[in-house]
Amino acid sequence: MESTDFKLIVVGGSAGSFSVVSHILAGLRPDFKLPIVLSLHRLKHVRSGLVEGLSLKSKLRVIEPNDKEKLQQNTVYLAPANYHLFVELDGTVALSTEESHNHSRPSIDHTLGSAAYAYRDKLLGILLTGANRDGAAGMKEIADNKGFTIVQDPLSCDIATMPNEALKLFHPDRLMNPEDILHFLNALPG
Amino acid sequence: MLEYPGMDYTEYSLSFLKRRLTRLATQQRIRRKEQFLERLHEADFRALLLTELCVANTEMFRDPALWRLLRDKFLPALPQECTCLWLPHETSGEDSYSLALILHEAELPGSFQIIAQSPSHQHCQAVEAGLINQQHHEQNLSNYKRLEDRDAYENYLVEEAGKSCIAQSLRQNINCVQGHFLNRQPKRKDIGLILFRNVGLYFNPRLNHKALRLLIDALMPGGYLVLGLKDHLPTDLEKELMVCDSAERIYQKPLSKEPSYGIHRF
Repeated sequence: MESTDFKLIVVGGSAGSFSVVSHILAGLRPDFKLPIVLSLHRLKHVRSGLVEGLSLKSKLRVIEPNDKEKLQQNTVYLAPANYHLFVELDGTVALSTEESHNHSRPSIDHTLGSAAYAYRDKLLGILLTGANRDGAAGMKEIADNKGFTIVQDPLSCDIATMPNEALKLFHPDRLMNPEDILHFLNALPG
Repeated sequence: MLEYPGMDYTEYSLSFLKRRLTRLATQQRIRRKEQFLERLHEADFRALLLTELCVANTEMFRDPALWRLLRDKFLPALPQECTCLWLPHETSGEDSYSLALILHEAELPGSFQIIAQSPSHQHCQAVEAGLINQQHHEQNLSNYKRLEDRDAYENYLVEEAGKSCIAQSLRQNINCVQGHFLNRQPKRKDIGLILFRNVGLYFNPRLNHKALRLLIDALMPGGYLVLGLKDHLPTDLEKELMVCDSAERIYQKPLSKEPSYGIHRF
């Protein structure tokens, strides 16, 4: 395996990704340390429900961060409804109400691209199932910054538009189904 | 930029500046720093820059539950001496219009003056004219329905010179002042409500603290401060305020001069 000295994991997903993320969070080791940032497409004006739903089975704490919150170990951060979530150079979260991107706020591209710039080769990016091209450019930024990239195998996706759009832009380090993504994460050191 | 009045963005978030300047440079086909510095000499370009650095992307009644609470609970409870409601960093006018509309529906119009403030002359002109971003129409309508469960929103709109505007009767109490609130504040002691939602997102922590300090000082005792749902409120400042509604981020400045060192809930 290539370098696995990661400091942060970012995950993007849209249609169909809730069950995949929920499955992964349920199966992660309880002592899994790396902070995980989730940028999932969601209804802009439904504030509650998603974080609670993900928390049900997760062994890790799942929260919607406030602006300027420092990313901590053993914690999963979900981009809040109607806010973009950027990752800053100092390892904090920056939220924003700037323009929607690919009709989305939160935008996966924004989260992934900012994390790529801040964490470079210490970043692991994962793109899951989805019906939108948002996320493809962000994953390419991770690859361009020497981060590690995993794209969900389109054959295992409910809707494969998002992974397929990413595959048009770059070659990911891994193409995996959700179960293999979970095994990969649990095999990470620390 | 510092050489020009009102253009000190030193303590804004670096990533925010990077995004906005990149966006502007792309729109204006500016490829080199020298081109940007050259264009800075142009007053029109500086106006464009100021406008770009104000994120004008909200919507009317964003977070309907907040507006319902303001209308039904907190506006009627404003201190008696309060006549001024302040929006220190207004961009699209949509928060000002929303406030004017709920004042009207709470049968409180004319009791208060709404002072909206923006660094951008262009934004101020648009707010004074009551202009509404047509792209937000459907969202505004949907938010209003969630607030009111009825369809009256469009009754408050008029068309002027081919553009959709908020009715004159609602906007007559809105006064938009150009200038950054950090440099210029209303010299009044009757500010009973400050709406400062999603503005501190674009400041670095130090500037965010400085801005909130200034706003708390400007607020009259018993007045309310409303932040964005995810805005950062430093702990030392939170201790000076009473939490009225933690979900909608409504805080009250205590009536006594002594800060309140506990968290209180209604």
